[in-house]
Amino acid sequence: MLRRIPKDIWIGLATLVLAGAYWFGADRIPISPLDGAVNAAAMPKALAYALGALALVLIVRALAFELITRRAVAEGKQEPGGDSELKATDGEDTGARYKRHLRAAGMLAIGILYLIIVPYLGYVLSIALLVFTVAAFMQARPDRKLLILSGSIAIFFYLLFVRFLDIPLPPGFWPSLVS
Amino acid sequence: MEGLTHAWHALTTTPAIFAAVGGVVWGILGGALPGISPSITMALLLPFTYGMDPIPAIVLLASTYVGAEYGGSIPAILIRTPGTNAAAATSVDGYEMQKQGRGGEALGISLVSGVTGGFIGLSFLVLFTEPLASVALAFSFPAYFSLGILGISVIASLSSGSLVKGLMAGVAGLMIATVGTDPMSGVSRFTFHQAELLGGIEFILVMVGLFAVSELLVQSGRPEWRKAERSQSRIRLPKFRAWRRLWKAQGIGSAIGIFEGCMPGAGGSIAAFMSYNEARRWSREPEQFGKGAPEGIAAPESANNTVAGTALVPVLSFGIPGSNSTAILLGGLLIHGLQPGPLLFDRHPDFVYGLFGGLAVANLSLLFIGMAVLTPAIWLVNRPKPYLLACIYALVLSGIYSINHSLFDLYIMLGAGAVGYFMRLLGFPFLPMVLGLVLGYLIEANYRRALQLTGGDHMVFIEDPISLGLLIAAALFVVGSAARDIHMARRDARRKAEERLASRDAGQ
Repeated sequence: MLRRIPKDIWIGLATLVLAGAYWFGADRIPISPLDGAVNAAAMPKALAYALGALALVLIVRALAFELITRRAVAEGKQEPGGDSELKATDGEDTGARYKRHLRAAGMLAIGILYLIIVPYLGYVLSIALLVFTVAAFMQARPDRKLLILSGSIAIFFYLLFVRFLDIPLPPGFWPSLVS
Repeated sequence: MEGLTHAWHALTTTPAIFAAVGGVVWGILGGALPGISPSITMALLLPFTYGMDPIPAIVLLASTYVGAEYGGSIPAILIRTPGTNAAAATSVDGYEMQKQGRGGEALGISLVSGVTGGFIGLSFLVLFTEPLASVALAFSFPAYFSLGILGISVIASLSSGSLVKGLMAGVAGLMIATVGTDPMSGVSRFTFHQAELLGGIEFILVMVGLFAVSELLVQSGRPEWRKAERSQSRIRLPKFRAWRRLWKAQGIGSAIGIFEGCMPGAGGSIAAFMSYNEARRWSREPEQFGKGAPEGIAAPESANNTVAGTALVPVLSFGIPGSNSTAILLGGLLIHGLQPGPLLFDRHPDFVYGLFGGLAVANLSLLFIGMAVLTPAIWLVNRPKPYLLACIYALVLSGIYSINHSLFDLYIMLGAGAVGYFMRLLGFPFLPMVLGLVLGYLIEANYRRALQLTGGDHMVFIEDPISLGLLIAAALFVVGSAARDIHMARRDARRKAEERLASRDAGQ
């Protein structure tokens, strides 16, 4: 019995689910009278099969890898230990690893938050807030210097995109206040 | 001669020269920032090329690649933190020279070797791209399908990590390419009743998400990089006598760069390390390597700048990119409706020779800009990392919005960034996915056209000799790589078992 399921098996299982969902979607692609010998669903279905097959190969490979490892440990006249024993040899401890992932999730959340507020607050204010928040999130001191920097960058990007490149960026509610 | 006329015309009637110079400046600054690879530097520019004419747009991207390969050596030499992967080999002797107070000399050797390698790579590109592209004239629908399959198989086989994960990433890329309206029958596929998805997922969104956003996510959890001293900002170009000593190393670097640049999946990093080893092997004083040998800088820097030129050969000839940077460049070509291959030379000679001319300007200007931009590059590296990453995030979000004025695009890009982060975490390479996405249409359209002609008979892919040859080559790459994968898995399993035993012994 596996004391701890290897990571690649989880990846393989998740990919199998993904391949199944994709196949399900492909099966619902309508048949068009313009389809020739091969319809629009043929390639997606083939890709779903290919991804499913590769996921199975990954699972088998991970199981084989585990088996070889255990056999090698057994040849060393010792009881095989779980993967937890390897933690001591990993370069980074679990706490630091989680912290790193949390920081990445936070960074992504700031981006999503920007997308939510930009239609309301407008480009200049939202981008200034984004710069300020990202820098503060990355442990820059949230002082007046950062505030000035955020504002300057927002104005620079506004001049670059709106004035120089003539790209209409979201104005927010500000024009309605003026009118 | 006709090519020279086209190049001259393109350089004098379009802003290609400004694009070349601007690209080199941007490339050096981007390459100098640790963690910001040439492909990310190029991806950040990609949204801005939408509104440009094709020649300056592609010259801008290609020149960025040239500049970034040199830019990576600046922090490698000054603070032993390579700005790009390819500059890692340069840091070995470069930093030793810096410690000996010869940092300016090391930077000068890097610059001169980069320019030398760049011109050698460009010469090879000019001489061999068109003859190679003409081979593709004999390609039929089945052959183009098989070429796409070969491209993905080769990249998946040669990318870092396991073959299975590489192939999975390639298939995932092809899946993303199926989203949108089917170009042959007009039916919607995987659009989930979203009007924004009817046109498909633009590869620029996935590329910027995978390369730039995922790097921002990774960098958010990494500590601040080291800082350089302001007094280090003077380059000393090698004198003629010193230059003579470097010729052999530069020749070795360029020769390896030519070979590696044309090989899919190899890229500048492998070329740099291989040339470093070869330069040491052929040196009269191999014991000096690692202690500040100028040849230890000349060889890898010549190699990675040669690659910046020769990596364009498979892209322009067959439309198959061999590295992340050239995948971005291919994206730029497709954005402007330029399909690589032999017809590109027939239909758009002004573009092809304009690009060659632009690259010549970029390599020449690198010599001068490399000296002028050193101080600003050091200033930039010394800025607090939170400020820099915040600016890059703002630039990415603003640049992508500017393409279609769509917030939906930004959601897709952030989604691609999250996928990229998990791919890095779980050991999936990016390039097969990007290649699957870029080649998706070529593969599916030619697959269906070929079967249309034969009434659905798949034997057409085996009866066509070119198609058969390409499929056999793809199979050989996959089988060869699988054998290597199994061998490495066995070795890793043995090592893991030894670690388990050792940790158990230590616990007793």
